[in-house]
Amino acid sequence: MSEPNAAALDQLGASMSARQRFLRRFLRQRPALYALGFLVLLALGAAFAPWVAPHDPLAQNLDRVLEAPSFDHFFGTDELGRDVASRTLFAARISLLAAFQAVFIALLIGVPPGLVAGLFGGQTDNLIMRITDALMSFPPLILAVAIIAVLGPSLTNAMIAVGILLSPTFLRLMRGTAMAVAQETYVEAARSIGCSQSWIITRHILPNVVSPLFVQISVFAGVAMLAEAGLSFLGLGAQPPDSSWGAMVGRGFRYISHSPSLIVFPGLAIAVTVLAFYVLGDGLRDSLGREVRREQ
Amino acid sequence: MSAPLLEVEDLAVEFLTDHGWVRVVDGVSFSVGAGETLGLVGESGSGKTVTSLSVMQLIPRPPGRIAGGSIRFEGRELLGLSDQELEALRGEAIAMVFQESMTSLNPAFTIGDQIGEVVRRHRGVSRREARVRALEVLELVQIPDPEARIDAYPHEFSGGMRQRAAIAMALACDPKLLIADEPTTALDVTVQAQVLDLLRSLQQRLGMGILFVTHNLGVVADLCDRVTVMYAGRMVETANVFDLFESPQHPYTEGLLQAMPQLGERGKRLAAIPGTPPMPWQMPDGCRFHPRCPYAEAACAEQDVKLDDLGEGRSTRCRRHAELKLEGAE
Amino acid sequence: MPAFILQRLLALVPLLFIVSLLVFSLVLLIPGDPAYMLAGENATPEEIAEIRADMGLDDPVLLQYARWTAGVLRGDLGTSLFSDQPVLEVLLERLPVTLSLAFAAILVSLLVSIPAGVIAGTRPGSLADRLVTLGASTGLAIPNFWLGLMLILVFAIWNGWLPATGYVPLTEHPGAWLRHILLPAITLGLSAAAILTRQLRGAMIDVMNQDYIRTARAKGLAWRGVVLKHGLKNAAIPMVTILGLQANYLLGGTVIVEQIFGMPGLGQLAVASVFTRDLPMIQGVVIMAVFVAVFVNLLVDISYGYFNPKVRPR
Repeated sequence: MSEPNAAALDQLGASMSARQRFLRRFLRQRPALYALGFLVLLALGAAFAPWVAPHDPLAQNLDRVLEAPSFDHFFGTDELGRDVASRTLFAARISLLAAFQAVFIALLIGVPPGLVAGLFGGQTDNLIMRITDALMSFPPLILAVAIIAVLGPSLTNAMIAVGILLSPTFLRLMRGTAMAVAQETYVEAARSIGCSQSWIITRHILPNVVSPLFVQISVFAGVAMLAEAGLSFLGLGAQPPDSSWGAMVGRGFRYISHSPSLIVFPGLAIAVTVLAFYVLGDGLRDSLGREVRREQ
Repeated sequence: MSAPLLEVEDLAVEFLTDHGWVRVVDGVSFSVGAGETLGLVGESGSGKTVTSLSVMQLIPRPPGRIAGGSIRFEGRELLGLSDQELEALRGEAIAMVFQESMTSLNPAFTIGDQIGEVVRRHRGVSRREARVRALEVLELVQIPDPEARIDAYPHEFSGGMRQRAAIAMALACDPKLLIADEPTTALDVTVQAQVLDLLRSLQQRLGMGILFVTHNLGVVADLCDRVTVMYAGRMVETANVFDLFESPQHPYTEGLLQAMPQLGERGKRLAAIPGTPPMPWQMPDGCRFHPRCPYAEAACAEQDVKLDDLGEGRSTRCRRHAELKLEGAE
Repeated sequence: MPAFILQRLLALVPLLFIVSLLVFSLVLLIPGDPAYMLAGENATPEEIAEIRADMGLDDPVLLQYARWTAGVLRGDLGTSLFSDQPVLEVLLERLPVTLSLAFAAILVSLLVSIPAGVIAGTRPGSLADRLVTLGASTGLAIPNFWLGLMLILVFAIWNGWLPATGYVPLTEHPGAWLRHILLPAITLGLSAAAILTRQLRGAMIDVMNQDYIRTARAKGLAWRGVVLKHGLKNAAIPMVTILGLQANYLLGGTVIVEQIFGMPGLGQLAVASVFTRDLPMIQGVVIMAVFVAVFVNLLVDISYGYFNPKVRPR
């Protein structure tokens, strides 16, 4: 019986700040905590890869190419005899960084126009939403490919493309919150006594949007990682000598019948990491108050 | 008194909650004869709706369960019947009308389809024959221009029309017993009266028994032959409708009668029953009504009160009923 | 009904206008001189000048846009810089491949998500529900190219049951078409199935708690009939919306899946065109893809009326 406990805790929560309540609820989300733990470990592993990795990821050994997993090489070796486990760990750096880069770009593109649309409304809002709708009517990966075709294949360009694809969701989220807040009586009152827009934004809109934004960021980190993997797999993302998990799978594709481990392990790394981002996002969402959850 | 169609005896229903298995209906017994209308009256949370759903065994399982007692229909025990046997009875011999016609009709299908569905289920007839029957019952419940309305969707009906359609659906297979759970509560007063008139005239024509669940004593006076009053999961009084209104034998019944607005008594203050009903997981000891009862004594809180049979189908669950002179209503 | 469709079509005009602006502006986004980029690094100044003249790059941007749009409206999407074929011709050649892949994938996603969502949504908290929910979360996290490679590994390389690559048109040999399309369709369909399953499960839980489900039970209908008739039709309403969104993702996903399974569709063409820097071809693919996506969403809008009579035009 955990429910009466929960009720008691929520009652107790009435006297706590929103942030404390959020934290308390989040700490009860066991899967989300495991996911967070995994992501932290992964980030640490990637950051300290040169010290943690069992081998030099670039050291070739042409006597031992395309080996199956062994005690020496946990994930086997690739076509140049390089250690796949070490390469997977090093690729985590690129994959994680790229995912956050894309989310950052999406925030950069999505948040300001969302705020503007929500605060000003009218024709401005109309125009911004029309463009957003048009952007969302593109099949996402095809749009990404087109953008990369123009900018040229590189990881940064691929992440710009992914960022553009993800931006409408942030835009809508900001717009929705801004609209809701702008209609509150106290904000109207504040405006009527001459408080500035920036005061309204920092004091009223941002605090309201921060938690749902974090949920979305977590989920989109997973989405961006999948998109990066797909684009790198196609050769449109990470370019040699850099290697992300998706790029590793793309290279391993050629040796699929000899050496499946080349694609199995980086692929698993993507799946588990993306799952961790999703589970974390779900946990964050469930930790938000009931009111916020319903809006989602 | 006619032979009982439905006999409920010592019914107990429990729900699994945060507080464990909680008994929300406890020791409820009543009967409904053919052609008779029994009113089941109580505040929300008194267990009247759960009782009525239990007859059809439609309480959600989990978290609900029927923990004991007996429900007999035409002498046949319903508890323990297989799903198939129950399904054969539902909508055929026993039909039900619910409170919210907006939500109890499926928005995605036409009225005609939803009525025809019952007929096809129980009579095994073709779509076309079912439609003919649907038209008949729509006419029976006085829906104007049924030919045109039969293909409408619930959202295209007004509240009163929807409730008529719901009644038509219940009557489609000529049930012997109709269970109506607050069928008029969500309606405007004038529409409410029309629907009650309809139910009364339908009962006279079709001769079915009605179990009428309501919190509204005015409606009871209008429609019912006998009344069972429930409080906090237990029945506190049963009587025929005249006796109940004239000389209630339980303080709770008195309270309900006093709280009922009456014509020609402007200016007289309506007496609300003080306090609120107890939560099912913290029932008071002794008489469950004693914390709110103006006549309560120390003894009322101590021992459990048995249902007292007063003869002639009357019973009450008050240990002081003999000494109290409770006030009725006209 | 025709009035309704016409109204939907008219509503598309502003959308398509903005889409055309975006697609056209791809050329403007090219860093530096597009003609230089398009001509390649070894081009002579004469070649570059010729391309500039060909593309009208010396004209004002608005004129360029007007000319380009007029061409698109006439079905003239330009000429491939790589093969010198008319873009539209190439696109129409490849469209059936992508469409049959996308539709097969939608079919797979429905075949998986409807039973899974119904089973999970009618028994929330049960073992079956937890397995379905776990499966759906996993399905969302697995990259579809990786799933495709695993399927190739198991069903083509290890067992040899199905071909790993290639495509046979349906009209040519239905059996061979099915054998070739099966693995790609599963690859593409499963991620959509994961999303649809989650959606349907949630909607089903919601719907099964509605009063009309109790009414249907009170009518004597068996559980199965109640779920499949009264439950599913109502739960389908939000699912149809999601399916419309998924259609976009599926079209996008064809880019990767066609590459893996060597299917000569639009997606493969798009990737190949990136490497040959065939911009008119890319623009053509994007326009064609948007066109298909908009068409699918129109179908979704229309089917919405079937499931939800409240929005049906009278």
